[in-house]
Formats: sequence, structure tokens, C-alpha cells
Amino acid sequence: MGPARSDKGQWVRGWGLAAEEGVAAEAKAVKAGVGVAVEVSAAAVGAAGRKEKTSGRQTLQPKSSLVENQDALLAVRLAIASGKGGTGKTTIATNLAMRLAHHGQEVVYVDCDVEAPNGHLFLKPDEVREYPVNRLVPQVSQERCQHCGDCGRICRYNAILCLAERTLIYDELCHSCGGCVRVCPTRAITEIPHFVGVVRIGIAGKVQFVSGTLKVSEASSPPVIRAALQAMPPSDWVILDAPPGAACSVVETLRDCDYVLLVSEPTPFGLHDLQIALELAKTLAVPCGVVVNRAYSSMAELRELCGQAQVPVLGEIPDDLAIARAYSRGQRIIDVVPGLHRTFDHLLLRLLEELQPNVLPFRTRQDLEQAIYANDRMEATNLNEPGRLMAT
Amino acid sequence: MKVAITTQGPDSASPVDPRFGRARFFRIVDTESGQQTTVDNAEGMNAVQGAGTQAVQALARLGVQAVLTGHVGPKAWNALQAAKIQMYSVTSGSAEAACQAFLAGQLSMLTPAEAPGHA
Ligand code: SF4
Ligand code: SF4
Repeated sequence: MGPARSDKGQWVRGWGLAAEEGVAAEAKAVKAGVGVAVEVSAAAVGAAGRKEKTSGRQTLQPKSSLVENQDALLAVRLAIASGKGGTGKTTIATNLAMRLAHHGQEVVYVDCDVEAPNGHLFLKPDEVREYPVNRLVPQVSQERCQHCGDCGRICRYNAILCLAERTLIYDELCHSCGGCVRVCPTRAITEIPHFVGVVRIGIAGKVQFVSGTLKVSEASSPPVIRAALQAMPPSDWVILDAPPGAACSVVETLRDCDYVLLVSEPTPFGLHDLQIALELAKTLAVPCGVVVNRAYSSMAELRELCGQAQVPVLGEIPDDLAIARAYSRGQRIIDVVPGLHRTFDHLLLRLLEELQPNVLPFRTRQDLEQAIYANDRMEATNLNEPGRLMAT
Repeated sequence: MKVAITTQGPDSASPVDPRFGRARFFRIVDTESGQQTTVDNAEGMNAVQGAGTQAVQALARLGVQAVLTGHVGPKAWNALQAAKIQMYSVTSGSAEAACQAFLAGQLSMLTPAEAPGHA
């Protein structure tokens, strides 16, 4: 696919993945198979409509109707983040997505860790389509340039060097803001698309899969993250696998999220990074909860830290050799470690308690709760023991 | 000819600053008139990125033709070459000493191999 133009025939600023209707439509087609009339305007409304969530969910129409599509655009956006890499973000994110899908929810998993995406190793998506992501970088026509220096003065990123007889642009410093194009009195600057990465869209079982990959040598990940976020098909839940750390790529991912699950380890390093992540969530004013990975014993320090920040601990994934083994083989831990799916179900129930009513449509909440409890009862009957989740 | 020396302090006795884009000050010496001025590079020192190109831009505006500094990053290297500013290596001593050494022709030119992999 070539670089995209929006309806008005202008370059889409910041990324060149075909105008969002195109990709969202394709993605919807992937999901629904054939025959679903794609409502393009619904995708366009998405961005504006997302913030106007209401607690009452339209339930008059059956699935895959227009109303359902619009409704689905109000998906719960859940980010899985951590202050450091290797804490198990992807493990939590992929397994949570699988579990939500198991309970009949429509889920999109988005791998926003574009510098080192690894969600595909666990979800193993099929029918993967690739779309190039471009951003616009200015180019100076040396014939037209009068060397006035205006472009260099407006550029906040020091990407332009205006010399007496030459004007140079440093692509890798440019943030594609378009400022220089606007100020140039002789229109000597044009913008050309610059390939920065790819977005992949596929399907993994019942989970929609989206992942961004930054081109090696490219420094700035936000354009690819934005492209991945815009490529999301509609759903009930969006699970964002955030990049590690607290840099701009994380901010880009957490922006507009309804809730952040911070994954931490009860180690001194883990605690230090959790502290940073907690501060970031606070700065961005996103409500958050903590999931402890490789949990053991009482973890007094971690609980104290969460207590001080008034952030709940929503779940604990035990420190278990079987889990590590499954992980290293690229297996989904809920598939291979017995009983672990209950840990994730329990985490989901705790999460439902935390989510504000305006974030989670009542119907979604009800459906999910019922599905989890029904599943639990069924398994309990099979094993001839009382339901475990009910008791906790 | 105007020469710029990257320095850690505002006067000629200050030690040279081995960093180019993120040097604290630039001491500009006009070798013909002997006139000396100091340019504060606080902006470049604290720039999130592009400190090198910004410094080259500032020096090019001042009409500087040579810099005496320690290390030049790859982007700044390329920018200095485009601006036809020569680079000479100096790693220690005062700004004054560096200037004298330059005038005496004792400083060697920085070669691309000395351009380290940081910007
Ligand atoms: S587009 Fe913006 S960041 Fe890029 S060179 Fe022009 S002014 Fe600088
Ligand atoms: S603003 Fe336009 S004319 Fe002026 S220096 Fe930049 S490219 Fe040249």
C-alpha cells in the first residue's frame, strides 16, 4: 500500500497508514468475515465519541449491527505497563486477553512495545496483514531557498541547520510537526513520506491482534504507536501492551486509557520501578492497580508502597517454575499451568470492581461476571468441590 | 579568522570542555584583532536533542571558521563539515592555552575516526 492521503487529498500528518477508515474497515472485515456492511462513519466518530461514555449500553440491536459497532468503539481501554522491562507485561496482557475472549468478550490486543514487540510469540496470530507506517519529513529545494533562516528558527527540535548557502534537515531529529513548511516564505520546503515501521493486524483465536514494529535505526516510536492504535478494530475491550519505562512512548500508550494495570515484581529493582510507574500514572491521571508477578511470601514492602499511593493490588501471579518453563517455550501460561486461569479470572473480577461505571458498560460487566461465575461453577462441579472464586 | 573553543567557564583561564554540542560556553577568539567574546551555551547544554546542530547553527551565524574541542558527535560532525568549520582536537588545559597551541599550529585536526557514536 502506498502512503495514505486523507479525504481532502492531503498527507495524513504523522503517519501514513491509510486513512483510518481504510484500516479500521479492513480490520473489521478480518473480524467479521464476509458480509458485514462496514460503517465507515462509525470509525470516524470513534475518536470523538470515545470520551462520551455512558453507563447505559444500547442493547436493542443484535451483534454486528451498526449500533453494536458504535457501541464497541467505546471499548474499555486497559493498558498493561511497568517501570522496567521483563516484569511480565506481555504474559499478563496476552493471558488476560485470552481469558476475556474465553468469557465471550470481544477483545483487541495491541502490542505497543514497538521497539521490541513480542505479543505475537504468545498469541501466534493468523491472517496477518502488514501496513507500512510513514511519517512526513521536510525536504528543502535548494533552488527555491533564499536562506532566510526562518525554518531553522521555528524548529523546536534543532532539526534544521540554516547555513549561508545551504539549508540542511536532519530527518532523525525531525518530529514531523510541519512548522517549517508553514513559515517558509518561498515554499521551498515540501514534505515527503519517510518509512518508520509497520503495523500488523491479525487474529489469534478469538482475540483481535494488532502490533506495531518500529523500523530498526528509527528513534521515535510514537508515530508507530499512534498508527497501531488507529488500526484497532472495534471491540468491548482493548488490551494495550505498553512499552517498558516511563518515556514518551509510554505516555503515548497510556493517553486516553481507562485503567492501567502496573505489573511489578517484589524485588528491590521491581519496587523502584513500580514507584516510577505509579508516579507516571498519577501524572497522567489514569486510575491504576497493581498485579504482582513472581509473587512470593508477604511482600510487605510492595504492599506498603501501594498502600501509600492508595493503589490496590489486584492480583498475584505466583513464582512458579512451570510458568517460567511455559513462558520460555512461547506457551500461554493459562493453557499449560493448571489452575492459573482462575488467577486471571479472579484478577478480572477485581478489575471489574475497580472500573468506574462510566468506563464499563453495565451490560459488559454483567455478561463478564456471569460468564466467569458460570465457568467457575462448571469446573467446580466437574471437580466436585465448592466454587473457588465465590469464596474469595 | 574566528575560532571557537568549548570551555567550562566564561573566561579565558577556564578549562576546555571536551563536549561540543553540550559544552557550557563557547569562547570565540578573533585571531586577527585578538578580540574575545563568550557565548553562553546553556540552551544547547540542556537541549533534549539536537544540541550539536544547534551549536553549529549558532557558530555559523557568528562566522566561526574553526572549533577547538574534544569530541564531536556524528550529526554535529556532518553539520560542521557542511558549514565548512574545521575541527581541531584539544582535550585538556585552559582556553587560553588551547588558543595559543592552535596559533602555533600544534593542534591536530579531528578526523572522522574520532567522531564517536554518540550525538
Ligand atoms: S517538521 Fe517540525 S520538527 Fe521537522 S524540521 Fe520542520 S519544524 Fe523541525
Ligand atoms: S524558510 Fe525557506 S527560504 Fe528560508 S531558509 Fe528555510 S527553506 Fe530557505
